[in-house]
Amino acid sequence: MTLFQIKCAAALISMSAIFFISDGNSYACASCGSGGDEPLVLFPAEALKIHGSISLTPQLESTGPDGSALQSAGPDRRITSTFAAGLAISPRSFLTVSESLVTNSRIASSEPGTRQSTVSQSGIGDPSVSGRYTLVMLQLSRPLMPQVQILAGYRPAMVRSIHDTSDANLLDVFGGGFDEIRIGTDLWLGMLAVKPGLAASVTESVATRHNGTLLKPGTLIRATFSLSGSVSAGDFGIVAQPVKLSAGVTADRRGQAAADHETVQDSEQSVNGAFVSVDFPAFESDSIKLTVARQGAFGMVKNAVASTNWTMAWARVLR
Amino acid sequence: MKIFVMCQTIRRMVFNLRPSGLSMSLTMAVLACPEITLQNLDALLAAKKDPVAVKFFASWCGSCKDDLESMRGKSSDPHVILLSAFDDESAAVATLNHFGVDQACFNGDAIARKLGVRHLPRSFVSKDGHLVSGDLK
Repeated sequence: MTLFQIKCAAALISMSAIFFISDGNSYACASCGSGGDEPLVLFPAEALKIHGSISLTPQLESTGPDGSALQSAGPDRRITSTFAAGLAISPRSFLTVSESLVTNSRIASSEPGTRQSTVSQSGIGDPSVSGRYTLVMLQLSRPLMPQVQILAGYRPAMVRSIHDTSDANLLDVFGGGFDEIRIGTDLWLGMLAVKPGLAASVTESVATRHNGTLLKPGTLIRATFSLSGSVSAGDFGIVAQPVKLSAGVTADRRGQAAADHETVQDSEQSVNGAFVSVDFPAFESDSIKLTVARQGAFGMVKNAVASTNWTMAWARVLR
Repeated sequence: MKIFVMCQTIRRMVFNLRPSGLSMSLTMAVLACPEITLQNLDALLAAKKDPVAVKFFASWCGSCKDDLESMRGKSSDPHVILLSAFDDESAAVATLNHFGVDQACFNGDAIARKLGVRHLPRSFVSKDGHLVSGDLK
């Protein structure tokens, strides 16, 4: 079997296992903490859950090593539709798989006096599988004890990336080009009225040969701090579950890349971000989440893309 | 010495340590709760003339605090069945000890699933021999 076939098999097995592994309810309070990286969170008492979202990024601004804006090829706008499924595999753990459909768009140059046109391409993104395990659970009898979770994830590079694009505007780039392995931890004080959360993760990319050169991106360290709270939704005529409001900041730092085992100068990346979200129940088994996130807040963006992202997500509990 | 006393105070606050004797007495009262199963719940509700509330809680459920606080220090209420669901029994007992609640039943997972419980806390009230979503007024 080729490496690509192995990756496909692994992705298919992970996705099908979601529906066939014997269920148990997850006690892990997956909605908790700063788990903003997860497309789907499993609430306690939920055994199987699906998620769908659509995310609009109306403007993408590339920056160089000195933080200045780059006039480069690449999409101006992106729409990402994501589907994910989550399964509780034990009272303290759950597994999620996700896949996305990406549409890249760019305003085509036009002749004076003619209407602007937009060119677009759509494609499937790299799938991902991740899991969480709760080391320390929340308890009403110990309100100052934080919930502690460990997380791990894997994203195989399966679709076209910038390294094998055939489009001058990079509109057919839907993947990252490198297998990624992520581990991290999430702490959350979920028994307080205003709940602080802190998550940190490390993502390591697997060195891959592209166009004859062995490339390896630097190690990515991501930290997220958030505050969340609840307000009653009973007055709005929907299920009397609280509406959850969250806000937070993120910091991404990636080390220098390597090409054929030699460091690429000025290749490190840094970007700070901020987000606000509101999560409310629609019916007994459904919930809707609205999120606005800004990448490139609070300081210089270096070798990264600044953007504002608007996301609407829906989730339904199946079991 | 002062640092030692301060550390002990912080440790008690974080882990909510209580004298073991109190925990034992509440545990014995909790274990005296009648066995609630899917099979006998309907019969139990039909046998009671007045409406009965069935309330689900868990030790990890921060929103359950208000329900448990409302039951603190009160003697057993025959019109309330408090069920722990989707929880470790030891953690549920520790929660009941913390709130001074001496009536609860455990292993309510099957009943919760049958009633379609997805979120906690959740309350049902008996009406004409059936459980409907709601609470006693």
